[in-house]
Amino acid sequence: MSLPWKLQETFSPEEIQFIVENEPIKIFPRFTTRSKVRGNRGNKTGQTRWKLLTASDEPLNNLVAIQTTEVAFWIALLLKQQGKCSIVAPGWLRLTQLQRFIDYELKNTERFSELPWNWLVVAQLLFSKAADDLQDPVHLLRGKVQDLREIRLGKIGQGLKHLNESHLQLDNLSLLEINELRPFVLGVMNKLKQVHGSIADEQEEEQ
Amino acid sequence: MNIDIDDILADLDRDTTAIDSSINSHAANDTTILGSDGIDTDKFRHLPVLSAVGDFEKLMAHWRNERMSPELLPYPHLLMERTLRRVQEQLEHIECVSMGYLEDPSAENSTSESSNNALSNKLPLLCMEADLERLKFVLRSFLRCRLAKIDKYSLYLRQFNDEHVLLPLSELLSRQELEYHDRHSAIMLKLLNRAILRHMPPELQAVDDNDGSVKMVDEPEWNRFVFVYVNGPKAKQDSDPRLQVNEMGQQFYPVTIQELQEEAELTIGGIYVMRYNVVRDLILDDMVQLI
Repeated sequence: MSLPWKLQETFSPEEIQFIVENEPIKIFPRFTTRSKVRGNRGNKTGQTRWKLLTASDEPLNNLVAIQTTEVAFWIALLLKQQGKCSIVAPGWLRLTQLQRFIDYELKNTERFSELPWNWLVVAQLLFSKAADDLQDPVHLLRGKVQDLREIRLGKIGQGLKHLNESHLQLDNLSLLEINELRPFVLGVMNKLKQVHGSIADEQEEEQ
Repeated sequence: MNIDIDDILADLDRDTTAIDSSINSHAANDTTILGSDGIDTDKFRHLPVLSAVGDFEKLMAHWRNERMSPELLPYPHLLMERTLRRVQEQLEHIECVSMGYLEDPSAENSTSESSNNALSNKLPLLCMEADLERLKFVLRSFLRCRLAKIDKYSLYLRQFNDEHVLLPLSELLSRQELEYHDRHSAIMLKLLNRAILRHMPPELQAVDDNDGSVKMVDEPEWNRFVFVYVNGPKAKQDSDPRLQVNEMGQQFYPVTIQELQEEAELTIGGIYVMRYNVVRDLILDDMVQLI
């Protein structure tokens, strides 16, 4: 069919990354695009203006070196690749903060901590593309993120016992975690629903 | 004594943003040199929130809903029209900007400073191209997903041409999709007729026979499970009459699961696995997002 079979029921991890890349993030630009009011008339610098369709282009036309700005994540990665900016890691990507999340996860076995919905993807992208911009050593951060991931995976495994035919509540689960669960959870719940439906039909017939 | 002045402050805030947005829209008009002689933008100015970014966000929401929902959702006619026009304009804009580089004399000087300058001058071009590719990817993926569903439900969609349905087929599909649906099902029918069906007894020749032991018309699986995120109404919290408040002080939508006679609460900001037919109305009203 026109959509590959693999993508019919779920997103691919690359598409999840695509979705996450549209989110804003803070950067330190290393160049200036804001045109000076004085220089504007007279000599034409011929500087190209930014005109974007998917992201706000206003901050990009007003970049001042070493002044934080918020831009879309994919632009930040692109600029970073060119050595034109450094990315400011989000507040939760610090050793102390991650440790707090881990403590919370260990203390509350019934629920997930309030990590942002894109934490796994953001962490992965920053580790691989902007490792030198993080304030804490990357290998320690990687360790903490892996810890969090495993604790949450354990809880998800516990939660799968509760699959049923009516509904399920999964607050604070991140998009990537949902995406890897999706085929399994939906498949099982759909089957349970069918079984439940046929039992109900039989009972009605008996009465 | 505490005087609550939040509403007064909010009033003041609104004023400043009004001025800001008017400045921005002027700036945006200045950059759209090509193709648009100001008439298009004038026509839409009185309508709220039609920025390219806002439209892209809506497109993303439509794309994600379409990918995950079991049924074919209504085609966003106006949104797609605007987006396609923007893609065209941006294409021309990029072409024009890159023409400028040919004439740019600074690129010929090979001193390190000016080549550095040239690189920073090409950054916007690089980004604009990447940006356009991203937008085109979403559009392509969205349309391909819809085509796959049109294939799947082609017999079911033919029933939409009957009198009694709520939504006419032309609302549900775009013009090109309608054509695809017609011609594709004609080709399929021809294949089936020539290969097998004409050897059947006449009462068994129909491809959309629903009276037999197995239904031949594939309907969307209305009660399939989907993951939903409850985002609630956009701005005014108290505008939605369906919203209620529970004992924890959280706002939620009460929904009923018909088959089980069960009540469930969808609190705002929560993630649920739900049957599609339970949340369908909320999805169409944009209160809930499929993820």
